[in-house]
Amino acid sequence: MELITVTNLTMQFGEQRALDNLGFSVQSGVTGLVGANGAGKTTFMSIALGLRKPTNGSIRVLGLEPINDGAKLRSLVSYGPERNILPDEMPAVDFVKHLAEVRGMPRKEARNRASDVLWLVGLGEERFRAIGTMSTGQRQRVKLAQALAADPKLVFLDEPTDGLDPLAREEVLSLIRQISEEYGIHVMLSSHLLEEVESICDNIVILNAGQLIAAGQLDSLTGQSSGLEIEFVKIDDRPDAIDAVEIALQKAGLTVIREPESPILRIPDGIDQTLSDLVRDVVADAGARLQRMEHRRHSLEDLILDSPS
Amino acid sequence: MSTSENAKILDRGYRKFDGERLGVWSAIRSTAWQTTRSIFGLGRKARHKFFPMSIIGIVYLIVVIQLAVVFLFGEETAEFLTTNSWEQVAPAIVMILFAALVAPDAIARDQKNGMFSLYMSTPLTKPTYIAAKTLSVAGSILLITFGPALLYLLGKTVKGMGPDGVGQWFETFGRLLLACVLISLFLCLFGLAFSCFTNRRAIASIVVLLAYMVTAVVSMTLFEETDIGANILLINPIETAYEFGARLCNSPPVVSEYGEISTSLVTLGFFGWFLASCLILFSAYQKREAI
Repeated sequence: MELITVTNLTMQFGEQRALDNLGFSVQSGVTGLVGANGAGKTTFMSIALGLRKPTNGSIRVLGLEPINDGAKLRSLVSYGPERNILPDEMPAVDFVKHLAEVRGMPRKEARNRASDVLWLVGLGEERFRAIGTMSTGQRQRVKLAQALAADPKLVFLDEPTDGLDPLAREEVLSLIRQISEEYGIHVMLSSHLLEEVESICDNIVILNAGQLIAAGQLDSLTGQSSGLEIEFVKIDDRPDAIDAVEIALQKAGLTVIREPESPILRIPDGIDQTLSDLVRDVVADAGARLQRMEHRRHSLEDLILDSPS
Repeated sequence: MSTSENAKILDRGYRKFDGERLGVWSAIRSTAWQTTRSIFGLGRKARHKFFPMSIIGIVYLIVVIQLAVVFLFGEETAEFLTTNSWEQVAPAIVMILFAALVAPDAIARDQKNGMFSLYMSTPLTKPTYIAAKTLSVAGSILLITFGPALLYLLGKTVKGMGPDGVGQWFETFGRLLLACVLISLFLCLFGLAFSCFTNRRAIASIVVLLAYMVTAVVSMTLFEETDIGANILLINPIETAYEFGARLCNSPPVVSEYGEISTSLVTLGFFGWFLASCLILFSAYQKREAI
């Protein structure tokens, strides 16, 4: 199921191009919107919510055009802002209830759901506490709770783990995973932390300076072969063994990447059985000793570092 | 066997919502109510209630004392109830003080605590957000404009000193209501327009009061020191609004110099300021980043 379809999307602010001719689609599940600060993540979210009209191109969210059907769309989606500032004097339950009402819940339903969702995010006992007295982690949970209370189909979360310690971050991430898997609420979260996106996302959209680096299912993107990586054990009486392997592989027409004096060789070409056999034979002939040989997969970091931009 | 003492709810679950979602009007109503609660400090500490409740208390107390004197001490004190009901509307300075207090509270806080971004991610849009805030602030100001005047009119009526006949009574009531609604709306828009440029409530309140004082001083100085004539008084928005209400209610001029200005010019001046406030407010919000 396609949640978001983006075609030739461009957003220009004066001389600066915040989004440059983006085109991709987002499937169901948890989607990570990744990029450094200033990559265009928040701009993309504001366009997806119908709060900003793109300079060019089109976007459809849940089958609706955000600019033309903004109010209708925003009753079906929720948003958790990046800023960690909330009404200090308001009890968490009043805050969540109020936003559920604004998003279209009847008053009684909003009251019940506010309570339930605060229990869900682990703030059941704290729900009558003023938000201003809560820790950063608790405030992040309140932001998550307000986004969930109106039973949205899709939630946009802008840097949901910002300012959290590692333990609190893990808890919030597992909560996000839970709401997607157990309650069928799709999530798009923006983050500049690659490892947290890799740990919970089904799909990924990577932006860099407004340009699309990659978009698709995380498994298929990171599953693409990045060649073979071979690590050797250094043996004192055969110091030239690794060099010999390297030379033999190059003579066989392969590209071999090796840092100076490193015991690790990388062969970025696609691997197959012939290559594996060749490596086995060359290693045996050189008298080298293997530590490991593995099919290397792309990490998100590789995808970003290998991008032309 | 478990007892009630050690019983514990482990998972309250999460329910899907199958009912009908209420529309934009519900969002406006909820936002307006939440704003009103904030304005009067409901659900907040006592210090937040002090100023708005004090002003409301004082304007009602004045009317209540007048009514009490006449009802308790008889006909010889009847002159307390001989003025036009319009004159029981809070004085201009009190109205602007109240507007300067409540309007910044309604919008500056949202800017500061991020609620504006959250509101914009709901079915509310900038115009409907302003509508919700206007509903709340104007409704609050109506409490100090229409409330005391209506109480006074009812007191006069009970005492047999009100308008003659049912028709005239409803005409008086209608004029009073219309004047108070228009002036409350104007004060609200004026207050919001001059307080929407900052997220600091205290500064916003000072800006609103300064806008009033500067126009008041300039208009009065120009009137007294030059030969421009009384029409220059129309650059004072609050007195002009007050005078407009007085004319609508067939009440004597608030400031005697306004008597020299024709009703059509007073009306034009009032709606000119009304429109200017709307333009300032909407253009400021048009440029405002939602997220």
